[in-house]
Amino acid sequence: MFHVLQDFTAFVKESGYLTAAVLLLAFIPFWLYLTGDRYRGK
Amino acid sequence: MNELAGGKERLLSPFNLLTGAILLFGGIIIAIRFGIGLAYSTNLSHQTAWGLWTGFKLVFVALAASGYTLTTAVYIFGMHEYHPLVRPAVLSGFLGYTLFVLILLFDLGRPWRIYFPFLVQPGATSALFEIALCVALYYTTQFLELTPIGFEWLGWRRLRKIMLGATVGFTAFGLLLSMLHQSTLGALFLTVPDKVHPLWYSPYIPLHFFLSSAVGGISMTVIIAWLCHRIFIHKMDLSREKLDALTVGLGKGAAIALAIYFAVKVVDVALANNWHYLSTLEGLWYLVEILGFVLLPCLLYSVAHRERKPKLVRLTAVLAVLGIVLNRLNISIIAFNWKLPAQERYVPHWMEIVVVVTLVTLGVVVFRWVVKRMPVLHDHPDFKSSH
Repeated sequence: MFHVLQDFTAFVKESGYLTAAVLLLAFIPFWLYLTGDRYRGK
Repeated sequence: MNELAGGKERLLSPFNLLTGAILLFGGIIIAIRFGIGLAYSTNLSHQTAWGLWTGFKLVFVALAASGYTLTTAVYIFGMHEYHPLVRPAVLSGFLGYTLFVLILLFDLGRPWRIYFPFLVQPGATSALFEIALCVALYYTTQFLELTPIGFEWLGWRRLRKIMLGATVGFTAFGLLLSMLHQSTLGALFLTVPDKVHPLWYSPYIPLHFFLSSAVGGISMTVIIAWLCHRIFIHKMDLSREKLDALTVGLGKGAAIALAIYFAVKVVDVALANNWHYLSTLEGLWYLVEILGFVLLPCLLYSVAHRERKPKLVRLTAVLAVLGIVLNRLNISIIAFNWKLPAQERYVPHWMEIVVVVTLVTLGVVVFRWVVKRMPVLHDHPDFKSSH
C-alpha cells in the first residue's frame, strides 16, 4: 500500500500541472452529483 | 423554550439560573487568574506556552467566519436570497471575535500592554503583528456592520442610512482582512516546525486555515439559523420552508469548500511524503479527523443538498463544526510538542476549561440579549420597506 502511496508522492512532485489537472478532473463527477437536481421536473 | 427565547421575563428561569451560576463561578476563576497569575490557574510552561486558551482563540476565529462568508455571498456574489441570515451571522461572528479578544486578555502575561504592537513595538514582519492589526480592524468593521441594527432600535434614521450605504465597502474590507488573518493564524505555526506533528504541519497551513474557516463559517450559519428558528420563532420573519431552502443551499457551499479542503490536505500529505506516519497512533488520529470530520461531512452535505434534506444539512453542520474544533485543538495542543515524553505533555488545568465554558456561555447570553431586543431576525416595523 505504501509503495502505491509513495508512487503517488513521486507523481505529485514530478508533475505538478498534471496533478492539478487530475484533481480538477476528479472534481467533475463530484460537481455533477452535487449540482444534479434529483427533483427536476417533478 | 419560551423562557429561553425571553418570551416570559422571569428572573429565576432555569436558563438564567444555569448561565448565572456558570458566569459567577467563571468570574471567580478569572479573578483568580488575574489575582494570582497564569502559573496558578493554567498548566502552561516554558515548553508549552500555547495551551487550551490559544486553541480556543483559533476555534473562536474560525467559527466567527460566519460573518465574512455570508456577507461575501450576499453583497459581493449577489446571492440576495440569503439576506435574512446576514444579521444573525454577522452578530455571531462579532461575538466570536469578542470571545477571542477576551480569551487573549486572559492568556497574555501582561494584558495591559495589549496596545503595544500598535503604538510601542510594531514588528511589521511578525505574524502576530499582522493578526493583531487585522483582528482589531476586522472587529471594528464588524461592529460598524452591526450598527444599523442598533440605529433601527434607537430610531436614528440618518445614521442608519449612512452606515447601510457603506455595507458593500465594509464587506469587501472585511473579506480582505479575514483572508489575511484567518490564514496568518495558521502561519503562526510555521514558526514552530519542530513542535507540530508532520501530518498537521505544512508550508500550506495558512491555506488550510483559510479554507477550513469558510467551512466553519457556513456550518455555524446553518446551526445559528436553525437554533434561532427553534427558539426565537416568534421573532423570525423567515418561514420554515424558506429557511429549509436556504439551509440546503448553504449545504452546497459547505460541500464544495470541504471538497477543496480535503483535496488540499491529501496533496499536502503526498508532497511531504508523510504516508508512513499514517500507521502510527498520531496517524490514526489524523485519519479520524480527515475521514470522519472532513470527508464524511463533505459527502453528507452533498447528499443532503442533492436530496434536499435540510435536517441532514443541520446534522452535518454540527459534525463539520466539531471537525473545525478538533482540527484547531489538534494543531495547537494534541499534535503540538508531540516529541515530548507523555509525562511532560500539556494537559489543560481545570480552571482553563472553566474559563472556556464561561466565555462560550457569555457569548450565548449576549447573543440572546441582543436578538431579544434588536431587529436581528426580523425587519424593524419602521424600516420594513427599506431593506
